[in-house]
Amino acid sequence: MSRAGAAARPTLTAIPDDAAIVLRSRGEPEAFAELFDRHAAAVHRYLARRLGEQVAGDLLAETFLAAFRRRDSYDPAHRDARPWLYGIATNLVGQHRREEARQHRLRLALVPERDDAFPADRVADRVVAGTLRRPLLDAIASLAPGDRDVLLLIAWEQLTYEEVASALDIPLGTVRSRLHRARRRVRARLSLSEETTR
Amino acid sequence: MNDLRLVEELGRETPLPTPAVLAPARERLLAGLRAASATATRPARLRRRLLAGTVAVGVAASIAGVSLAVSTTPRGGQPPPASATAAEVLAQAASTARAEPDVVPRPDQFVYTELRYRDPTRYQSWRSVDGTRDGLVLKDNERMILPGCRGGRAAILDKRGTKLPATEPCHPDPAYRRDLPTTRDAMLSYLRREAGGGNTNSYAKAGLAMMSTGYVPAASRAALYETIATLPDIRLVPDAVDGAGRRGIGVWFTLPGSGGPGVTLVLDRDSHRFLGTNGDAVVRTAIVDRVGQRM
Repeated sequence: MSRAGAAARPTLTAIPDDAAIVLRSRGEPEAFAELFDRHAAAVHRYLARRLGEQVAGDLLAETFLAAFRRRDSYDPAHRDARPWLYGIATNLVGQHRREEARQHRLRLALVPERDDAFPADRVADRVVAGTLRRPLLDAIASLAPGDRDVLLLIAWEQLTYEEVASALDIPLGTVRSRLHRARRRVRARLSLSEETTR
Repeated sequence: MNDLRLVEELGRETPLPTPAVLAPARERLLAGLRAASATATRPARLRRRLLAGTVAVGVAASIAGVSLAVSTTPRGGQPPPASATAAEVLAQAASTARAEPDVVPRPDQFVYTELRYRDPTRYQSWRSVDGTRDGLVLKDNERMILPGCRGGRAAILDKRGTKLPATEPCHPDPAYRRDLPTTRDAMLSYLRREAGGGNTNSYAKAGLAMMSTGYVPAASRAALYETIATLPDIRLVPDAVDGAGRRGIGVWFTLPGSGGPGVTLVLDRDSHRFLGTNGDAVVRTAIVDRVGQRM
């Protein structure tokens, strides 16, 4: 056996994966707090991106409480709980369409501060995003809810296609077709040519 | 740049939240988790009795010291001799408690407790003596109903702590415990039993937290002082301050396993009555007829 293999083992057992935490919480509810400490920041940001800061705080607690209530149905094969949490959060977003529309209007009205210390290689992206901001926001708002969920979980939350399928409980093929439809619509709204989309 | 990167760029407008932003949601989750432990198992219910209202954290922690000390005592051996002066103070406190008149509340009454924390939270609770009536917790301006358990069912609360028109199975959670041990040895076995199951000392923790709220019969409180006196590392703190800033005489001991600085039990210098710990203070306890009444 290689030394590296032997050295890696203690680390693997020392840090329980999310599945281990969820399983433990079935007999010991307080253990579930660990899952919050690992993923709450990301889930909060996702909720804030979609519904605004204020609603995000409320729905963050609800997301984790709902996850906790469903812990018995968690599939321990999923070592990373993020897709599961994102799925629950996305469901809650679906119950708050009014807030989502309000957040859209708010973001149109408020142009965020730009960070001057921004890395130079992304300045160009920023400029484009700045000029295209409004049509971009409108395009996202105009998407069918299911298509929007897929697009934002991939573009904002960096989930893989497989993770989105698991989060939304839809087939992988549906993830692909929804993403395809969403991107086509965004491009059409922005009047981007096919060459710029690769 | 492509459309996906443009969307991504938009997402960068929202920063990751600070821990302070996450704190209220974390609190709410923890309250839900505690409520779940409360309905799960029998020892967990005991834990809820105390933790349902985050009762007396400092004292709660001290039970860990008690139970761990118990578990590390060699089988059949005697606990190491304790520091004489701290032990004397605890013996005084025990005899003071034993001399207190035994107040036995009626089942339909409530135990009122006001606690102060160093942070400085004001925490008040009205708990049903027999556990069947609705009680109330006020944490500063936050209100939470403690649903009574009647016929094996209790109301479910929503996230704001208000009753929903739905119930769940329960066991009554009496605020006044007649069934606690009244002698040192029986208290030791009780704590050992309570800490035995599960993975931590949390059940025993709950037990001591409950006692700190002052509605445990005086004889059981006395037994608890005598139990603490058997800890190997107790020390006298001649000038101790409780969570509300009141001065008294203290008994300090470590919390094995916690790695923390230990806890100081603060007693009134003259009467040796329990005031609180270095982190919290029992400001007032009373038996009252209805929720909201303070004396």
